[in-house]
Amino acid sequence: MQQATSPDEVTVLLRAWSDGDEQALDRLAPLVYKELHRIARGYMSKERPNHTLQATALVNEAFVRLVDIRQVNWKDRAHFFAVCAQAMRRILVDYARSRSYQKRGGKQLRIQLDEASGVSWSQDVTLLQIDEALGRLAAFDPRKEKVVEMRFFGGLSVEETAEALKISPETVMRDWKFARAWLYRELSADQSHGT
Amino acid sequence: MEPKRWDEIERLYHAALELKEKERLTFLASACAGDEVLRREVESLLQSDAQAGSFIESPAIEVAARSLAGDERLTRPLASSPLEPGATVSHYKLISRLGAGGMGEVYRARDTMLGRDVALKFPPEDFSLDQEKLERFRREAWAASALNHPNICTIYEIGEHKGRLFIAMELIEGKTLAEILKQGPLPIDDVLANARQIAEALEEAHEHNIVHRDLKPANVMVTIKGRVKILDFGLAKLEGPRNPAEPAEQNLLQTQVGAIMGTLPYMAPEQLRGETTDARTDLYALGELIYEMATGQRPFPETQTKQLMEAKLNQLPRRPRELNPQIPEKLEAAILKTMAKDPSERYQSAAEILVDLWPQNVPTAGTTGLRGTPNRIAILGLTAGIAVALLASLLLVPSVRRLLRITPSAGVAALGQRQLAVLPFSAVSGGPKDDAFSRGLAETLAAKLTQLSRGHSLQVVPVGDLSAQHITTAKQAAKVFGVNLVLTGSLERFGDLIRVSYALVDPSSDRQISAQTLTLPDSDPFDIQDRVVEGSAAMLSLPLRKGQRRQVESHGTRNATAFNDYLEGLGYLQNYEKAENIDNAIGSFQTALNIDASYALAYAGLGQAYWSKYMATKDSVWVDQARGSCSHAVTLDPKLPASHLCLGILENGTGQYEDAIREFQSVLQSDPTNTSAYEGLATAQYRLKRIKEAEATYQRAIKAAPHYWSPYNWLGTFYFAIGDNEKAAEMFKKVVELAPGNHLGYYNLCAAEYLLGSFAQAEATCRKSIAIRPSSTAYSNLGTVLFCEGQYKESAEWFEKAVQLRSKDPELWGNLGDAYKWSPSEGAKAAAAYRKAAELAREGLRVNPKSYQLLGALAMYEAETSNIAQAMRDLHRALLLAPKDFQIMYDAAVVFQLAGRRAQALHYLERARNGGYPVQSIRTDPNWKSLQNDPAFQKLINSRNQ
Repeated sequence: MQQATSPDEVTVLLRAWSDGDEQALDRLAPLVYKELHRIARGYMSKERPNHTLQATALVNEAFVRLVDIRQVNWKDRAHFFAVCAQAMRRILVDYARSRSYQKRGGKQLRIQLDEASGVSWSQDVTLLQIDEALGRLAAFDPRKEKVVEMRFFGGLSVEETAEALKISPETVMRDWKFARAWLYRELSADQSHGT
Repeated sequence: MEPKRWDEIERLYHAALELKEKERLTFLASACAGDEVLRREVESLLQSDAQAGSFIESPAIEVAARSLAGDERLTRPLASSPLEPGATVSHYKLISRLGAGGMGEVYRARDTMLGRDVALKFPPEDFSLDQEKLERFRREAWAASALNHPNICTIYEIGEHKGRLFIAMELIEGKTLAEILKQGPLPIDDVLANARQIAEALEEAHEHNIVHRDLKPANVMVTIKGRVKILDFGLAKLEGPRNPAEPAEQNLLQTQVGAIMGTLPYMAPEQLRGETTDARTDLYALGELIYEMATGQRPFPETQTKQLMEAKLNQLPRRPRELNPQIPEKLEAAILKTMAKDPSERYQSAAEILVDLWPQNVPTAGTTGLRGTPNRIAILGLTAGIAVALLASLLLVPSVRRLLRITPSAGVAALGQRQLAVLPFSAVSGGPKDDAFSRGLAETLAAKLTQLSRGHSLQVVPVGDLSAQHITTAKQAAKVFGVNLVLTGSLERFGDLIRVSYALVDPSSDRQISAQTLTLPDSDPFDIQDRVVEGSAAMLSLPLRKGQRRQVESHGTRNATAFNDYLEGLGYLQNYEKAENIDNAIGSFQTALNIDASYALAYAGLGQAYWSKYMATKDSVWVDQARGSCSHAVTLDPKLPASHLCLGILENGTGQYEDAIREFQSVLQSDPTNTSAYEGLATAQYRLKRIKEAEATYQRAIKAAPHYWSPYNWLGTFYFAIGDNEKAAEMFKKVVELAPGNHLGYYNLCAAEYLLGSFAQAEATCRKSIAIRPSSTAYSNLGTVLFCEGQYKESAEWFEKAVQLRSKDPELWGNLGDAYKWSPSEGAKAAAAYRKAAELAREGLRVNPKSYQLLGALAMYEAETSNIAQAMRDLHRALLLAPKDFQIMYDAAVVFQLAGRRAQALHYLERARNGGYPVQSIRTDPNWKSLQNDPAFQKLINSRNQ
């Protein structure tokens, strides 16, 4: 598989994809995988606890890092951010899906529903479930779906998200806070009704 | 959803988030103005927000990477796994790897807390990902950890470290039987000795309803001294789904052939067929083990799965004596009987096979006459003689132990576990203030000793529990609480000096083990307390480490007078049954706070005092007062366990169970020995219908204090509440066993016996409780039993006594009403009693509107006083809150019956019975007299044999 390596190429691919060229995504995916493995290696090699911060710092740059935004000839930064987040979502969800097929018994990409409070939910929620729930959220409130897509899948900051959606950072926070609770409830319900 | 609706939900959600948690409910109630769906929608989102923790806060790529990292760790070779010698897991330091296999990895490790070496076992990591499997495993391992037997490898702890499960267990130095068998058959004496020890271990485990299911040479260790130790009791499920609760697992062989290959040779025919397994399954495996030890080969030497299974299911093994003529005939017979294909043809228990393995029953070499050189015979004869003598004395051990288990005395407990009660210190001179001070001193002393005792085999009975039972002497403490150590003392003033004498006493003989006297200026209560804590810790050989010393010396205030007042408040609160003492306590805490307004402990004490005031008066103004004080304590010192405990108790009492759970967990985080917090946590979980979690919490409490009766009592009460009366009775028997002088254990046992239908037994147990100490509960339980026996007049007399002692309890008044109603001479008094009951139930609901028990009861009382319409409304609310609770089903049946709606009454009665309401109690309830000839009713009470 041919890999995109130069910033220019990434830019070209992202734009091609946003213009409807599905195959461009296949060439962007390896970049994300590379990043993914790099972070995973960090997890394994280090006896934390600081790595979370490092990983997060890097994630924000998964695509952005490869492209010097000032030199990118986009219509605007907002559009660029939005396309990055969308691409990340597609690549990560496809990746999660392929892994869950690949492994019998479905070891999927998991996220702890409840890391901090540790009250009752010890079950896991997969990226696939989050993606699906997000689809349901879009039916009520497409803007909130975008906010979650940018922040969670795209790793964008509140300010970047605000810029991309042309709304205030305060609105991003409000949307985020509400959407997060809504998703959590949605997924908790999945858990208690499922087996 | 309508966009308008969605916007409204979002608007209210954000508005509520701006408010303090306490204000949100009120806000939503008024903002939603009767739109219940809207209110619930917003509330559930707020709740999700509170629970969501760090949910999706880290980016998706990180989540993916974390999962990837976890996966790769599984596939990496063991040598480079993060578990390496030198690594620290919880409080264990890994020393060397002992082995690895399908069960995971095992390490030799140092327990840095107790300074001993242990074996640490880590199940395979993918195991931790299957929650259900994990949960089952934990339960099993927890049950197995209760086993304490010289031939069973002891499980010390089931823990988790960075998300990885581990089991700490006894480190055994020796060889596995598998290794030993590689050298060929064992001498017959060794065969017998090993067989007996394995059988004894099985006997012990089976008595606790624990079946091994995977007994095999690799799971049997033999130490250099010849002591046999069985490993992995209760852990068999790690490797296969052989769960007796799921006998229908017919596909075991199709799906699990690979996984069970290793143990297939020792599996019983019924296991191969996927049928139910029980204790006899273990005995079959024992048969195969003895066969192999005696002959040096497996009974079915086939190596191909198919042939092996065929042979095990249909063929007889070769006779052991054909392979080794030295095997005594009796032993051969025992082996073959144990290996019968049909479990009913085997020995039915380990005890049975032990009889046949007794030395006199299996004459060995010396008497059977061994073909060989004369020299050899003589020597063998001699060793056999010695072996027999040794074994005979060994055999005595378990039988004595069994006797002791049935009637444990304080002396037995002393061998394993030290249990300490700290009695209130007496004030030799001086008034009630000094008295309160000395009690408070005892309480803080007990609390500090509890902290210091963590990790040592010492348990300290909470002082509150002692004072609730009015314990004042060492003998009483031993009788009621089963303690074997008592710390007691006195205070005496001489001008501005204070003399403190304290002593450690053995309550069985009243002998002083150690005593000390200090004379100190009374201006420095801090010094008094610190010196007493340090002195008593030394008497109890509890070493004070550096950090602990600081803990001991932290008092929460720098002001001596405030501390004085605080201790006084605690002392008064201990004696809360005297009404004026609650006010005194409130006064003392307030005085302390006037001096030092930042004294968080005193606020927590004040909150507790207000709550006691509410409990005593049931006047809800005190609830708000209590909340204010507890919250303020948390604000002042967010880490203080006492503050969170204070709030937790309050939230539980007012139905805010989610909040209560948070508070109690916060207590347990900093104070994992706090039994009150376990109790509160489990109660809240139970109220939220998280039954499994509640059960696990109670079990954690027992684990934290295994020789203390109180947690068993909670668990029994819990089982009682969920309708598992047999388990409840089991727990209450344990309570009675641990604290035979405690009336509470008896009246609870009485209740469980009553629900199991043993009325005569229950009556006797209740009377026993009353004989030890009269109490409203025992009166009420006895009244209930007599009621069911049709002795309504006598029943009413006991209920009258009960309401005298506890006049604010709606259920007691309701029961009194029932007894009056059916007693021919007292019928006229019934209505007044029911009205009183209804009035009290309504008061209770004002404080805790979610109490479905109160609602169900209220509906009954209303129906009894002909207020049918209101009864139906309240019943409906109760059914909404608890649509499956059998008590509510029964209440519903009664209400419908009183309303003359027989069909519905029968419907709910049937649901009550199916839910676990005892048929006996239905039969004996006179409410159903008019239904006696109804065939549906007859079918209902006769369809289940008792």
